[in-house]
Amino acid sequence: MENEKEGSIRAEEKELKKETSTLESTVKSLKIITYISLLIGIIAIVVAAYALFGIRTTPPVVQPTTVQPIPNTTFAGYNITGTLITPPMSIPSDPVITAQQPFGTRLTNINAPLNASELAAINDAPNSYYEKAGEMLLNGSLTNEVGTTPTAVPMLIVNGKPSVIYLGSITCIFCGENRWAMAMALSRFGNFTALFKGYSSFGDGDLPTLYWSPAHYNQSTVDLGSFYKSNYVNFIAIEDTDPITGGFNLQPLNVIQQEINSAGNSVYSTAMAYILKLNNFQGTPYTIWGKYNVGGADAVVLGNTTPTSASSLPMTYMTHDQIFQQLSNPSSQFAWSEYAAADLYVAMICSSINNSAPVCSLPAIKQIEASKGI
Amino acid sequence: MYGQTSRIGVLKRIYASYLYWLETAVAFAAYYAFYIVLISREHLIFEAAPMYIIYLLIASSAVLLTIATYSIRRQLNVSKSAAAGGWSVFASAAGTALISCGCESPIIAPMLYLIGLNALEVSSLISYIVSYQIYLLSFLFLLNLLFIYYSLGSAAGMRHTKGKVKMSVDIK
Repeated sequence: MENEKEGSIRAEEKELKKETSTLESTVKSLKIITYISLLIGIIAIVVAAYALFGIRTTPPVVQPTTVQPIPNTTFAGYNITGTLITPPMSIPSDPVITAQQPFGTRLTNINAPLNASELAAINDAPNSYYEKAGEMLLNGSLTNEVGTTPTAVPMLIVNGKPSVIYLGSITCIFCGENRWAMAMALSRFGNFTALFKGYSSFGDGDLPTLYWSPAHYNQSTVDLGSFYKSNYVNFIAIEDTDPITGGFNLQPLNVIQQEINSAGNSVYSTAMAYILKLNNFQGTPYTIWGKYNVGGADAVVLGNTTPTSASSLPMTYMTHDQIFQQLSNPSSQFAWSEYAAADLYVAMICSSINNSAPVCSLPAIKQIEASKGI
Repeated sequence: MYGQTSRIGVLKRIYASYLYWLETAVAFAAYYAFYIVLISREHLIFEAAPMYIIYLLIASSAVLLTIATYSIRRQLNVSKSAAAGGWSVFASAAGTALISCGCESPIIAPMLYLIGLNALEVSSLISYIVSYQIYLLSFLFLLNLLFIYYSLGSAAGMRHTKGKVKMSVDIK
């Protein structure tokens, strides 16, 4: 009887030991996983600290890049002829708002066309501003983050000229910021007969910006066209719209494509098909500058320094008048950074048109082309 | 009533030790640092969702990781605890990826191309995420709360089987 009991106890002990051993080994391996996770967490903190300090202290010097030219200059079928879209000068359903409204929730003068002096600040700025800003960019004396790594793409040729294509959203803060530099860059190769005052959405900074045409700021649709004329390039502007009083929104590309196709303009339909063929759209602003594609804005110019949080963006508290004043008489980091951001786009166009425009002979533009490998 | 008291009891036991407070703080800092690095790198200054939902998600992930570590150290439902710890890392990373879907270059876009989606599909998915960002983040936060509730119950040694409470043994 006792032997049987002893045997049974021993068997139970043996089984218990076996279970304990299995459990201990499982626990051991899981402990290792946990400690590795904690280690990864600590490494993440170190990397984060390094990256954050790196971001704040690294001077925004233009770095040489390795942009590889693509052998074919155009896709087959992307050398076309056709007329560009001239948009209306006003939209009855989305009128100019004249009431003075508080920063952060203001639409004061939205869709109002620029007056002659405001338009001149964009069209007629002296090339010396672009030269000085380019030098500042090259010698690292800008405090804002200015710089991009463009991707070489085949060109969309329309009426024998390379194309600048813009796909953005009126609700997007970076599109709002980027349109200033874009307009300034395009003004070196032609001129705008009209531009319009606008804002990014309330939820995305409410930044004062330029619109290429009056925007459908109350509804979800697509605005096409601009009042730009140039002997060197075409400007194809595609602007997604959503209610400006909300936050950032972007309709899917298939919806944008449907709306473009329903407009019945072959140049815009081809441009959209071209964007889809490139198959690299990630977000807005999305731009093509002749034979270069830039995903996102080419600079973060929202004040005199690159912001680190959304809580206080200087540009949110600037009026259109203040921006025009700064651009007309640049003396701040904000103004020089806008000119430098424009310089990057100018360099891409110059490279695409064999440096045939007068602005391409500026030493700073040539150096930017060389340093960017474009 | 019994279950709630036990869960709170476990929570009190965990946070009676300053080491677990430290772990929660370190985990919170790590998750937050991950978020900050990504938004700084990608210039994601504005997000469609309010900041408090990010803080809630990160804080709940840090607490969940702490509970998981406590359970593993005490050898309580080790595999489930490890899963909860893994989920906490995933939830904070997924939250950061979701919040990155703003106007400029969402972090997840390159990954979507990598898995074979095209521009139309990527833009559709990003548009969807932007439109429902706050709901998706809230859902992740709710799942975190659910995991915390379950993990605390597990650590308290409770498993409800056919209406009965079954106790497991705390072997340490």
